[in-house]
Amino acid sequence: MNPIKALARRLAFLACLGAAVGLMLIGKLETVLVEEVRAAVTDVAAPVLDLISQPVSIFVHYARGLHRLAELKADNERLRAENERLRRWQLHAQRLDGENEALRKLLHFKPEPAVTQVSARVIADTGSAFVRTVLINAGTREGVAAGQTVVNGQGLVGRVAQVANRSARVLLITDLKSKVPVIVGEGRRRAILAGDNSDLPRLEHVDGETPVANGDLVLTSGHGGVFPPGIPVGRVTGAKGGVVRVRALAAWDQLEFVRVVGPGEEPFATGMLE
Amino acid sequence: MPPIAQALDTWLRSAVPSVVALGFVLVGIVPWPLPGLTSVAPLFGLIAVHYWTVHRPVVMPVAAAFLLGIAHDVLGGGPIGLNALVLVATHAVVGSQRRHLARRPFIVDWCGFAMVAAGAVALAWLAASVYLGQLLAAGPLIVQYLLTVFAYPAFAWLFARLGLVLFGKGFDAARV
Repeated sequence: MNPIKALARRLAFLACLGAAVGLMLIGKLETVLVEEVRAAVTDVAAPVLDLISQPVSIFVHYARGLHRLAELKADNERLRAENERLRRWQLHAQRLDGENEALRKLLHFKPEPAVTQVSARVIADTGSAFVRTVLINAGTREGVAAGQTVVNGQGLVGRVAQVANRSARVLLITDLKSKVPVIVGEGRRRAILAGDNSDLPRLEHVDGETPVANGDLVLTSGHGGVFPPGIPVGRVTGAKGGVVRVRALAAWDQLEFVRVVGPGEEPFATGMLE
Repeated sequence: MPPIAQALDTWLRSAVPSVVALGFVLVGIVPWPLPGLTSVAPLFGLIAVHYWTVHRPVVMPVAAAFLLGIAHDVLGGGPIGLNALVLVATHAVVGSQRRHLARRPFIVDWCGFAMVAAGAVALAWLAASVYLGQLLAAGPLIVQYLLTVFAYPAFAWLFARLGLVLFGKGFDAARV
């Protein structure tokens, strides 16, 4: 290699290294600007990611279908039993609904205004150990706004951290930056559910003396006003080394569709889960 | 072929590996809702940068490694510049060790990659910890590292086929 070429190569390396470190610094200091640029780029890439994620989703669907074929019989029996149980709950809910209606009339209770609800598909997962976010294919165009709560059929997923025109980034409750005020178990003990980029977020600042029990249901408390109260989040999965962890009800490895709900809305009847 | 067409042909051929690598980076970001495969996908960018830097450095200039990293950072939602830093550093390290890795049996290439990837993942962990101001859990990273190392042979095979198609018999595809 001639010396000029070697020099050029060295300079290119230094320029790229400097640019990478510089971008990290800018990202740290000028968060708003960088996030805006990121949102704009993401918006452009969203249709491409959407396109790629669809065949992947179909492939995974069939792969999982094959896997499930084997468990068909057991599943069927389990679902029959569950159906029976849910039917009882349905009756119960209908009765409560009627009662609720009557009591509301009695009190002249003003219901909360209807809030927009948007369904969206997950089009990108971070694929990284440093951040737990997903990208969804709905943005301001569909009425999604930053700070809104994201749930799926199972429970709390996270909140909207950033919106672009047709995509939005959702900060999962497992992310390092996620802190969710929750209440735990029958004792309704207050705590903070803090993510640490692992699959099982930690319970911090638990109120009271007695330890929380394995399997205790964790719900959002609504304190702080970011998350509406009463959304099921997960179950306590045991203390190890003084750290209490929670297994989220939302299955992270099967996150395909989510719902974005505005603040103040109750997306779940919580009693159903007990 | 007229010279200009030939130049264009050469240029297009050398652009293919980077474009394919970008495609894999995107596939790595797209959700794979399979049980157990949570948000830790193999580091496809790292595999591509290592492979081409060893076997055909001309088609993987440092700028391409940088851009692959930036694409992953911007779309993946992590700190912007983190993957770019890791891939640029990987490019430099692999480039300097190329004579020990190129035109050797595949196992040498693979072991080299396992070492390089370990360094890359450690660098990523360190940079992210400094960036976020706290020590990050290493568990997901170790999983990601192992996935990446075990995914390498399949990608090396694929890239070798691609290299033979693009650059003909003279291409050093590593002897498997």
